[in-house]
Amino acid sequence: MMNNASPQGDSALEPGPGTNGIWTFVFIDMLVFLMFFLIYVSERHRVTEVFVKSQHHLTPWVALLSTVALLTSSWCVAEAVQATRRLDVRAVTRWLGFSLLLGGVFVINKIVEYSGKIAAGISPATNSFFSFYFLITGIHFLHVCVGMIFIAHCRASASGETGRTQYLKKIENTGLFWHFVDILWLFIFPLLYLTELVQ
Amino acid sequence: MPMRIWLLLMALTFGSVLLAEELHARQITLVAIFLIAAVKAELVMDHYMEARHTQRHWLIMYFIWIIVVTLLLVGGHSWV
Repeated sequence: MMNNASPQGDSALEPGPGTNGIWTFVFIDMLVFLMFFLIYVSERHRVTEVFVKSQHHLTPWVALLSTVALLTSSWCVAEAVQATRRLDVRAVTRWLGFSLLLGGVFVINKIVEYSGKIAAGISPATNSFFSFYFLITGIHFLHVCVGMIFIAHCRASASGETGRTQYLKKIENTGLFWHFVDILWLFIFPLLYLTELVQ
Repeated sequence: MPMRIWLLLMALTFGSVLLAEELHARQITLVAIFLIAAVKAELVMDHYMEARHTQRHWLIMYFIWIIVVTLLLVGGHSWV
């Protein structure tokens, strides 16, 4: 007997926010970052002094601005998802616009931060702390860029697609990915920027 | 509701920076800033991702991830 099930499955009929696929994808990504954190902590234990000295080259206030931008952007996406459920197209477009703007603040802030490090002669090859710093924040940065592309796509298609179940699932999936990117940063921020601020 | 959660997240964010700068008990502060990060992650997961409304196994696995990461980071900074 032939199986006529489409690769998309019945994602539009799945109960709860988003699709099973995005929850799975995000969880796999979370496990990858768990591995990064595990290796970071074990390397920090091995060469503690290098990590402590290197962390003093980071600027917590710059990272605080990134945190505020990402958290606020997450709030905007949560509002956009609720507006989609209310079929309020203008609010969806507006909230996604704010979210993109704040994502842009994060991106510019990060580029300025990286430029400053490189201008000061700091690169991933400097020592093991900066290898982790560029790797962890760099991969996170790529996640932010991908998330912004998804948000921009949702915003562009909001006026034509709001009200369709597929669009609701699309914006919920985008939101779930964006909130996950936010959660990662919530741990990266204290790990890299705050621990050596402590006396 | 999302705005109230955002205000709480902002307060916790600035609170953790103040703690890191002002408190001089290193071990307690390190535990506190990672616990605050865990609380913030839980708030985002619960209220923005609406994890309670998804399938139960995801809620459990995501919650376990937060606990494991928090224990790892607290433990990893406790021996120095």
